[in-house]
Amino acid sequence: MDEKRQKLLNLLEKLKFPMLPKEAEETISKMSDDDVDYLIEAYSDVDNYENVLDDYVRSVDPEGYDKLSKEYRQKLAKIKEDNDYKMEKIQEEEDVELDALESKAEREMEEKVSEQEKDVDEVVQLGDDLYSTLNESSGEGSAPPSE
Amino acid sequence: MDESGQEGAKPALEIKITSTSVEQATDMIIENAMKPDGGEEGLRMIADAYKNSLEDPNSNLGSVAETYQRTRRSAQQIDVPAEANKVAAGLDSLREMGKRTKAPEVHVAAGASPEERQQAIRQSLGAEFSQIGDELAGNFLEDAAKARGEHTIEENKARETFSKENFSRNEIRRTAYRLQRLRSGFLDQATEDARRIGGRELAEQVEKKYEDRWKFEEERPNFQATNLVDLDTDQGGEEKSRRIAQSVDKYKEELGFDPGKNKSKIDSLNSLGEDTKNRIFEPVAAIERQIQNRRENLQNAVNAKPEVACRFASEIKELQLKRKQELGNVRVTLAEQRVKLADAKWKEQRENWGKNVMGRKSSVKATVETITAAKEKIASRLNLVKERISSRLSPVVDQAKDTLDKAKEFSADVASQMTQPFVDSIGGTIKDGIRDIKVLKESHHNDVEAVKAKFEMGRIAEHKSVLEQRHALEMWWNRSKQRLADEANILYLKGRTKAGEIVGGAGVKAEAAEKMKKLENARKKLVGLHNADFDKRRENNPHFAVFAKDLESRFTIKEDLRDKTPEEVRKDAKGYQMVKLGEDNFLIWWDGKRIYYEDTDSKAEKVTPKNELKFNEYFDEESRTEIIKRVIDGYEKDHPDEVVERDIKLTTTEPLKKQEQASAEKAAQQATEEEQPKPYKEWSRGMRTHDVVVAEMPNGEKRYFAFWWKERDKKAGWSEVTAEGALIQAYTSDNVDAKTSDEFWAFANKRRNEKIEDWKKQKISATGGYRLLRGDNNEVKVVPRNEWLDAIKKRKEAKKAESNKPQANAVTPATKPATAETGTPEVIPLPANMPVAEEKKSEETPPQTSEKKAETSMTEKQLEHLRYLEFFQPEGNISPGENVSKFKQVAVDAKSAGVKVSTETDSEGNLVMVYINANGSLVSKQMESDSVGLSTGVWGKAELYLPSVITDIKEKMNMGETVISFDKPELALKALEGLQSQVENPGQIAADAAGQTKTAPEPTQPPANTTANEVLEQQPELSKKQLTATEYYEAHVRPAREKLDASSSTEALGEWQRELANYRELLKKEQGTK
Repeated sequence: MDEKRQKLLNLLEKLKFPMLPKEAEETISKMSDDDVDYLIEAYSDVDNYENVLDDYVRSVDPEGYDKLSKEYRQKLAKIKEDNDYKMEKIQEEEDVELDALESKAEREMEEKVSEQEKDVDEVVQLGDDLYSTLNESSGEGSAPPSE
Repeated sequence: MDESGQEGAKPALEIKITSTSVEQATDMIIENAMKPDGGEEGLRMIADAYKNSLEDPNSNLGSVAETYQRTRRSAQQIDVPAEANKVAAGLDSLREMGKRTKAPEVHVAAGASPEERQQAIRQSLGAEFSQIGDELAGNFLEDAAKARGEHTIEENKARETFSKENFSRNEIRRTAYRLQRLRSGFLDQATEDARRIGGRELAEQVEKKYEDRWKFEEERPNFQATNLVDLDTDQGGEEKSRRIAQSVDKYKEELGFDPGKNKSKIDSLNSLGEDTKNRIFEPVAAIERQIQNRRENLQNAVNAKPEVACRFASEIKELQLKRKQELGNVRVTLAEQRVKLADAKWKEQRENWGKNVMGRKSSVKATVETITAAKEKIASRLNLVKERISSRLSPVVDQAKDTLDKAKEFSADVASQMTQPFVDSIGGTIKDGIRDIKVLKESHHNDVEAVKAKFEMGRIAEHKSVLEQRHALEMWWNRSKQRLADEANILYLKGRTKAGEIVGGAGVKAEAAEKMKKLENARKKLVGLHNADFDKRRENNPHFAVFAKDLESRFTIKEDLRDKTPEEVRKDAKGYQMVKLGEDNFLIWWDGKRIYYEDTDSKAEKVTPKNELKFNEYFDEESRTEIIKRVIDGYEKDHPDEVVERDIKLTTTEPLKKQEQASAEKAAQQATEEEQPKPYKEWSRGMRTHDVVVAEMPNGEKRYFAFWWKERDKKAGWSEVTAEGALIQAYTSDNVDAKTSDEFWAFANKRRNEKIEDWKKQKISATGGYRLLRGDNNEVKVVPRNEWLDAIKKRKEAKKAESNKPQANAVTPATKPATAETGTPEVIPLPANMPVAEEKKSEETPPQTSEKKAETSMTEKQLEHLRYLEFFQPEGNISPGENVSKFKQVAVDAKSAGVKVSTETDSEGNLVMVYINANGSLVSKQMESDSVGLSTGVWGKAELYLPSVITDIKEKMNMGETVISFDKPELALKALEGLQSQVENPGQIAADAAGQTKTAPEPTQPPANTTANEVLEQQPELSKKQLTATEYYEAHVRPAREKLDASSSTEALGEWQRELANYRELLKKEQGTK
């Protein structure tokens, strides 16, 4: 991403252009330099105009501005609140599923490993028993039956 | 005084409002606010100092330097320059906030000196400003500081949670989102304060400042590798060894919690060579390194977006599972080690045994016996192991036996062949275990990825939705500001600004003018971008088109404004005229689309629908037409080659219609305020008028109010009309979701009764008994009901006569008009408020269903009584008790005519009446003891609904639930059951007619249901005379009726009803005799 494309991206973000950052990055990267220059100029003018407008209204009609600003903040807060709520809900659902998957995987893994350990322990024990028996037999057979 | 607050050289005290100063001020206030002693002191000091600066006539009003000095003097304990600066910054913030807060307009005489001006402002604003200061200080403490304090407390708690060794996703998520909400709350408040102080730029600075402060520090490197290969070269791999050793120790520590159970594991671990240990523990150490990294990230993400914290938490949980899986591999490797150790031991034992056996030259037979015995012993143990092992070992033992059977003599080889399968079997088991764990890991990883992908999609969709909402909000915000700017422009051009004098007088006005110019320039530049080049770029350029749409909407906002500025409008004007009216000069011009006017040479407003009304205040239609004609003529004269569209509508009708759609009530009010009364036929299209109530005002003036509804528009309301029926004013126009005429009428009645109640409060007497009568030529006037009824009756008779004409008459008009029969009146004269069938038929489309049959199968009398029941309206100027009494009598009459009707009243004067209407529907009417108003309910086919309504009420009463349809369910139940018995036993109706109403005694009312026989018994002279029904009618009913028509009193109505009932009884008797 070259400098001017990054500049355009920053402008778009500032002006709340409704596009996901990755999506915007991808779109801008496919545009010609000329178009990018044009958009930088246009959005800079938009930004400038909005700043001047904001400043003007605030100066000439502070009461109206305050009232409007309050409404704006309320709407914005509502959007944010709704978004937080939905994101938390999504996160909660994901957490529940991941927790369930993890407990299942952990349980299964523990079962498998324990089983292996138990098998190994048992077989080692069998081997020990076998040799022990043989040695005992050979000990007993120290006086083997005569032919 | 220098910056340290010491007296001396004149300091440069112009404190610039920056995000830092706001932040500092906030911190200072919070610091004070969080002091245990209450903490308002510092803030109060600021407010007091500011107040004093305003009250002191010698102070330089609004000067930052002045207030700084005063603050410093007041805040004696704040001698540290930095702290004093904070106070000054806080004070400055307050001053700025106060400046932007509403304050009354100040009138300063023209030509006043600066001192006089300052004095005037001070006098006007001193109190307000000090109050504002107090309020702002209070608000700030309440809101921003409190929010910050809450956030700080919660932030500390969150740090503890985020640092926990064992956390759950749930607690991290909850904590992160709780913190997010607190952060948002505070940031909203802080940025709003900043916006008020320094506008959008400062708000953005403050927002950024806090975002930077809370910004999640850049993520530590994410070690994704499952080994520590990057540490190989680090100090000769020391770090790598250290990490592995740490992991081994940690695992040993975990095993050490249960040393008895894990002894063999610990022994195996200790017996492992360093290489093996490093090999098997390197992945574990790598994962632990990743976990450590994520933990650091999580601890730093306390104020990051919640999804970031949740992501780290989730990653840690996943890594913790991965570590367990890696330790599973370690455990299997340790098992393998145990097998190796066992095998070494077995080798030794095998050799010893071989030596023993061979040394004794045991016979094969003896060895076989030994092996068989061993096998049996082992077989008993095989039950303990898993099937898989069992199946592996059985052939092993069998093979050993077989080997021995075949061998002539037992040897070490034989022994080896016999025991080796054990080792192989164990090795196979271990390999199976490792494979199983790998499969499990893979499967779990895939499941986790699928879950994450699923929710990531949801997150992206939500993110996108938020971006769109934000964009829409920004557009709205800009459009709204644009609107304010437009209004401000107009005000400014009129020589008034909302802020001007208050903020800084003439200087501010000049500043506003400067800003306005700046705005115009910015606008022009922006609008200039929407040109051919723009259109060309978007052609066949999908990437550009994405932005073009957005840009276009932003350009459009500005374009709308362009033709609103008077300079541009005048520049583009196609023609104009100066018109003088009285003292005022009007400059009127036309741009080819709209007409504009100015009432001074510096003001201009578009003739929008709203302003057009204003325009019409000055000019009548003729003048307006003439003005426009002159404007256009002037233009045509200058542009002879151009064809000019002259059809410019200036009447108020069109715009008002549009407004009416947007706000019917407002439009109706405006229309009536602005226009002359409309004739009935104009305003009553599709409208059914109901009663007209005459309201007599305290000054004796009579006003007529018509209640109406429009079925087509689903609206009902009431209007004030002239005695001629012309509309004066439409008061209400409610949308009514009514499906039947009964519902419409119920609504209209409700409105009527509400109005009557309202009048009562205003001591305005209301009289009913009037209707709007439409004549043959559509002329309308307010007439008493009986006059209206007579007219309807005549019309009905004329219609009847017309329909009775022989067919021939259709060709040859009848030379003799039909005459009404004389003698006993065929049609019983109905009360004034009783509509007749023809009126209803003429206004309603006759139903083409079985309902029509039901109606036609009823006698005319029954229909009339039914309509009486349906249209009977309580009177607003008599008591509810009187209305109940009248209602009961109406019901008796109806029942005597064969209508299925039942009423119940209680001692409190509540009434419930139920009946079956002409359509066969179940109808209920209720009247409360404390209200004259009636409520009506219609269910549908009575045979279907009557039983279900009864059952429903019973069930609900049993369950103690509310019966929605009836206010007095007990009464309703009795009435409904009475009606049900009539339906089941139709013959009882006539028999019960006279004494139908089983009401509780109402001592205040005269007995209304006295029968004719009773009358005759009570009046022997009548009995003696043996009056015929006709005679009785003439002698009693007609005079009673005349009396009623003349007086419209309750008494007269009651008398007439009684006489009418007596007449009917006599008539019935006569007919029975015959």
